[in-house]
Amino acid sequence: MDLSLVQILMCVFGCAELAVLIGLCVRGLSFRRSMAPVFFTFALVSLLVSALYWLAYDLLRPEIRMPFAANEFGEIGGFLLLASTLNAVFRGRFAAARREIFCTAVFAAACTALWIGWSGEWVEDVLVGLSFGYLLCVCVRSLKQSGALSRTEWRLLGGLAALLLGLQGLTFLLPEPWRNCADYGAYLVMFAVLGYGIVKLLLALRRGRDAAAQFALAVAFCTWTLSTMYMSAGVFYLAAQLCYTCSIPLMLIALRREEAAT
Amino acid sequence: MIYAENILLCIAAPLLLSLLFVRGQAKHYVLAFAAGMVACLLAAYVTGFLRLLIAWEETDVRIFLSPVVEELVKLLPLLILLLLAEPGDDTLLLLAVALGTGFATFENCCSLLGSGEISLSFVLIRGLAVGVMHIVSVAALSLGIIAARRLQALSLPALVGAFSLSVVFHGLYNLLVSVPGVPSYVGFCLPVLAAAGIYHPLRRLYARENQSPSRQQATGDGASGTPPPTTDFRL
Repeated sequence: MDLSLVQILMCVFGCAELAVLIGLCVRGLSFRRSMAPVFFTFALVSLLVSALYWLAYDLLRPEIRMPFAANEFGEIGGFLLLASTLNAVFRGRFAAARREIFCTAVFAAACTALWIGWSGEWVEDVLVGLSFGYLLCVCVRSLKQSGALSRTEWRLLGGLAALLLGLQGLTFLLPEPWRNCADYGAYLVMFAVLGYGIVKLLLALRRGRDAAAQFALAVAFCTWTLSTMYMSAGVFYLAAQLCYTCSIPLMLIALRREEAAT
Repeated sequence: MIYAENILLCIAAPLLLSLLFVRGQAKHYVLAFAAGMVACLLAAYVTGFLRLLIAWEETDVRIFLSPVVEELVKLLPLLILLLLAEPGDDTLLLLAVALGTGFATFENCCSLLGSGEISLSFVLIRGLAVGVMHIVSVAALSLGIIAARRLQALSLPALVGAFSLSVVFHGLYNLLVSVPGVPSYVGFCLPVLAAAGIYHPLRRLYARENQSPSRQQATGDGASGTPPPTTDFRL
């Protein structure tokens, strides 16, 4: 089956899901006490418009390559507004998790370098990298502040992120058969973290103790799915996209609980 | 050939003269309207310069470059105003709407004069779509600023995020209207749908806010010092 067709169908499904979730946000969330629901709704709108742009471009001008991916402005907006949502829930300071944030910034910079290496689009990748890096940093600070991850989990996450970057870097250096090994190793690491993330998030949502920690975990899971999407191709990209589609309603559930708890 | 600068002079001269006879909010509105027209001309200059610099085709410029430049040029006066004058909620919304209206009016005038003979229905559709497009994007941005300022959550990431949203929305509109037929009509409907999407929940929100007890104690425009949390800015 043609993968591009599957990708278009998934994008259509994603748009429909986002439209429904925006409706639920507007109807269900209270916009009076905090800016978090406002930012979250606008983040969803931004992601929806970005997806619609990609879809419209693909249908109207399929054979013409974009001089720069204008839909990425929507993604940048989505990342920054999602980070602002987290900032509205956790009014903490970055100094509270200095070491973790430093490692996250290094991870984001390395990811950006890898994207540039793959696509060669400097300006776009730097802009997306900056906003994505900011979201990652806010996410890590929120995870740290809420105590959502244990000490062992932080160490494991750091180790796996370093391993992932190492394996992705090796794909540029190694010759053909070894390159594939490094590539599949990277996929294994990314999807292992995704699998662990979804289990941890679902368990946290089921136990329902700390609503703020649940929201931080949900955003962290969504961020990791995005990171996996940007580092994947073919079937792996579609699998990561499916996880990303699932992560958005989970974020809304967590935000609703957080709102009810405050 | 009619130059854009000449159109600007023709429209702006009576508006600026009218400043001698009005005062208060009307004066603010006229000034912001004229600023919107100047912003539109500035956007055309910048886009033209960049087009020469990067040598893109006109369609690509319209789809990819114009939204970024136009939204940036509309945002800058608002930001300058916010930083220098700290206007109250009412004033900020009024100025934003006037800015968007001026921008759309000037763009429509230049477009109509440049495109020769076109049907009345197309003029109406284009006029409404572009008008709503520019007003909605800048008004939504100003409402976002007002709401974020009230809850002390106004930050650079939030502002840049909102700006990116307006850019991609504008880009989607330009992409759709660049293809004749059904896509262009979908494109023309898009700003109206967005306006309805913003207008309805906001009205509901403000209606609810006006019913709350704290609303009864609201005072003034909030231009001096910190804006009061319950200033009236009904649509």
